[in-house]
Parts: sequence; structure tokens; C-alpha cells
Amino acid sequence: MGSIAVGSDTEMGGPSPAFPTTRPSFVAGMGAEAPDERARAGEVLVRSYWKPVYKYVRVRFRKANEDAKDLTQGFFAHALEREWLARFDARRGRFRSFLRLALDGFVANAEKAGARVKRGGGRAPLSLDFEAAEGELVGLEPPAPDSVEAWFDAEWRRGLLGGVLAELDATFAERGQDVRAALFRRQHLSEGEPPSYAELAREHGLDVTAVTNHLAAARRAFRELVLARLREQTADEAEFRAEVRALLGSEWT
Amino acid sequence: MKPLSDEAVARLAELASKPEVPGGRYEVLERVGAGGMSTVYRARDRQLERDVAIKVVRDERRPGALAERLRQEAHILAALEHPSIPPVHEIGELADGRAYCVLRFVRGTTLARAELGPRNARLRLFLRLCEAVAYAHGRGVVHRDLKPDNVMLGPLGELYVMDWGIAGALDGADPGAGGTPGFSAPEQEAGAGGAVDARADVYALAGLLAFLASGRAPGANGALALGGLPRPLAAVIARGRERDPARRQPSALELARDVAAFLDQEPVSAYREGPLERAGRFLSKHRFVAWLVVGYLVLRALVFFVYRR
Repeated sequence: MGSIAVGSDTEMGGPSPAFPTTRPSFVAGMGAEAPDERARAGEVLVRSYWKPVYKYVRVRFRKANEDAKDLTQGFFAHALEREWLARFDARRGRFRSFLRLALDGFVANAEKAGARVKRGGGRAPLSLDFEAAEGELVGLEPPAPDSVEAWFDAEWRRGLLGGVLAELDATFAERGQDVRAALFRRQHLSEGEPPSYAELAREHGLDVTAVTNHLAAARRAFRELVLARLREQTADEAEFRAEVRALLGSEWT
Repeated sequence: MKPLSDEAVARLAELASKPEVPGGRYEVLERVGAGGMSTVYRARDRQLERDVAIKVVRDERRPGALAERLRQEAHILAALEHPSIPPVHEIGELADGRAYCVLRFVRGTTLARAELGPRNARLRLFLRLCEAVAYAHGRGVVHRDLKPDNVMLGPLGELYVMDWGIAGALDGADPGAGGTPGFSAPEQEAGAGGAVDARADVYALAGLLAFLASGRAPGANGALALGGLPRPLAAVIARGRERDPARRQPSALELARDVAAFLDQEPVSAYREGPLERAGRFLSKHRFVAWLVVGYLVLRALVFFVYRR
């Protein structure tokens, strides 16, 4: 994670906005001339999509975990080396649909070739936590033939929000504000009814005003990160807005 | 790390969808309504410790045009200082770039859903509605979307005219499509461009009057069901619903005057009554005097019969 500027705490709502709200689009970066820009774009692509891709290969194509690992590594190696993702045209559809169809084609070709895909396509394999992804497969139903896209979307959404939460935790930890992350998780991710602010205050030895301020700041940071990641993963303003609508539902439409 | 459950994903997506007003002054609490162009949230103003409404542009397909419309609405509301028109507190841009405005949070229910009591009470409510609309007309603003859903009633009987989203200047060009079938004036639906004036609101007010008087809203084609209403009241409504704006009451105040006259059992400008109707109205209005006269005549008759024996 890149360094994050820390603003001074305001009296209300905690720190002033300090999260990077503008991140360049990796989709655009894939076609950039500068190698470091392409490398950064590739890194974001892998970070954003490796888990949905792995799960998709495992569940949709019912591949054994070792084969799915090879196919996932092979797919990203193929994508990064050939730079074929630079051919994506935002006017013709969403990037995620383009990626999924490309993955379908890649797996079909690999099956046709009948040979095991060489892990990483000959280059150093990416460092991916397949064990964690494997753990998330428990209880995951394979998609119905007519809802493959929705299934892939749902896994991408789960991955994106999970990534945002991890970044939120890490950033607050960096700032020495772990309580903020803990309050956010307790308030918004507890099963059942969320606790009252008074209960949270008692649990954390704070007063209710402090809880209110911490939560307001955490929510703001969470929303900023969600939007920043969506910006990063979309090609242009139109696709960004379409993805925001897909993720956040009708509230945005 | 444990993967997010479907429920957690849904909760976080909902959380992220709530608007984030820069500065941290407002905490968005819940979504309370949505229209074609905007979504309205109840939020807490943490500085002044009160609830406010935050209206956020909704349609991302034409964000620039709608943001401009929202700003226009905010400027119109800022120019209208009337107890029945909710004031605007602030306009701006959310962290995600959408335009928003902060308004008074109006508690209560819409006219479409409220329990409104007997007919005369409903008609008196209509008079207050006309006053607010006439005030806006006096300030050069035409609402263009008056309907039961856009009128709120507070718990203490307060009345608010809401949703000035497609309001426009009386002397300006038609701001574009909008309005609600059944309530929008024909010239507004035709998109005459610049031809919409206060009489378009008179048409919609007459539709509201029909709703309040009969409990039935106009059909989407503008058709009214006025059966069972007193003829003068039906005539007032029918005049307000004339297709030709020149044949309607010329202003909201004129329409209100007719309704007030009906309530006071006076003749209304929209209806020419016959001698029997006039007599009936007179007797109905001067019931006490009529009973006195009847009593006197009965007494005289009794005296006549007693002394004749």
C-alpha cells in the first residue's frame, strides 16, 4: 500500500479526508507507453481480480485446486505479457465482462490443448494467497448457466469490499486508530441488530460523542475507498458510473 | 481473513451508497424517498443537532443537466420564504461528485396518504395550498408538478408544498419535460416551450381540488369523476380543468376565492345558479333566520286557529 497523507483531526467527524480519492484507472494504464505505469496497472489488475478468477475457475469449470492455480497464474501471465487487455474498448461493454469472457476463452483453449498450463506461463508465478481463496469456496454454489455473469459480479463485489475493509484496517492501524476500525466492524458487520452507540461506548471505554465521531470518520473513509477502487478499476467516467450503480444498486441510479 | 457473507456485502454496499457530504457535518440516517431525478435522505445535522433532508441527484445518465436542475431548485427555494415552502440550507457536491442540497426535514405524510377528515376541512386545506402556490406565482415561480404526493401535512396541521424540482420562472422558457399525467396541464404535456404560466398550476390545483373533494384523483388522461359533488363545486373544478388556459380561473387566488365562496355558501363565479338553487342556498346559509320565520308562521297559524274557535 502506498503512503497515505494524514490530515489533522477535525473537531467533528475525525480526520479531514486523507484517503487517496483519485487513483488512475488501471484499464487505461494497461495500454500506457511507460513500463512502470503498465506494471502498476498490471499489479492493480491482479489484486482486483485474481480471487474472483480463481474461484470462477474452481467452481464454474470444476477444476481441482492445483489446476485452478495453474490456470489463474497462466491467465494473468498471458494477460500481462501479451497486453491483450489493452485491446479492451469501454464503448463495447464493461471491463469485467470482457475479462470474464477472455477467461472463458483461455480455459477453453487450455482444455482443448489437453495439456496442463505451465504455471505462470514461464515467468515467475505471482504471489497469491490461494489458501485464503480456497477457504472462501466452502459453501459456494456453482453458478447456474444463465447467471454466470451475476455470479462473477457477486464474487468481484465481495472481493472489492473485502479489499476495502482490509485497506481501511491497515490505514487506521498505521495511524494508531485501530479503535475506529473496530467500531466500524462492530457497527456494520456484526450479525443481527447493530449495537447502539451507547453500547459501543461502554465496550470501548469511550463517550458516545467520540463513538459518533469515530464512526462518521470511518464511514467517510470507507466510502472514499470504495469510490477510489472503483475509479481504479474502470476505464472512463461512463464505466465508473455504471460500476458504481452495479455495486451500490439503485440508490445511485 | 474470513470472507464477507452475502448479508455483509449487501450491508456494506448499502452503506457505501449513502451520500457523503464533505465536512462531516451531516450524518445520513436513512433513505426517505426517491423521484425520477433525485433521492432524498434523512440526515442528522451534527452542528445544530436537528434532522435535515438531503436531496441528491439520482440519474447518472445526465448528471450535468440534473445537477444544474437541482441547483436551480435550490435557488428557487431560497427565493421563496413562505411557511408552506420548505427552506433550503445548503447546496454543494458530494465526495463522489453528485450534486446535493440540504433542506428542512418535513415530518408528516403526503396528501395522497393522509386522513383528511370531512369535506369542508379538506377544502379549507386546499385554500392554504392555493395561498402558498399564489405566493410563488407572485414571486415569479410556477411549480409545474403539483399533485397529492407533493403536498405534505405535518403532525400539527402544517402544510408544505414539496418538490420544486421542475419549477420554472413564469417569464422564462419551459424548463423541459416533467409533471405528472392527470395533473399536468395539456399545454405543459405538449411541451409548448415558454407557454407554461401560472394557469398550468391552476389546472393541477383543480385536479387536487377534485381529489380533495371526491377522494378520487384524476385519471392519467385527465378524466375526472365528479359524480355526487355539489354542482357549484363541480363547476369550479371543471373550469380549472379547461384545456384552454384562457378559460380557466386566471390565478390560484381566483380559484381559492371560488372555493371560499362555496364554503361560505356564496355564489361562485364558475356556476350560474337557478332561482330555486339560489333560494335553497339562501335557506341553507341562513338556516337560523329561516327557522325563526318558520316558527313565527307556525305560531301565527296556531294563534289564528285558537282565536277562530
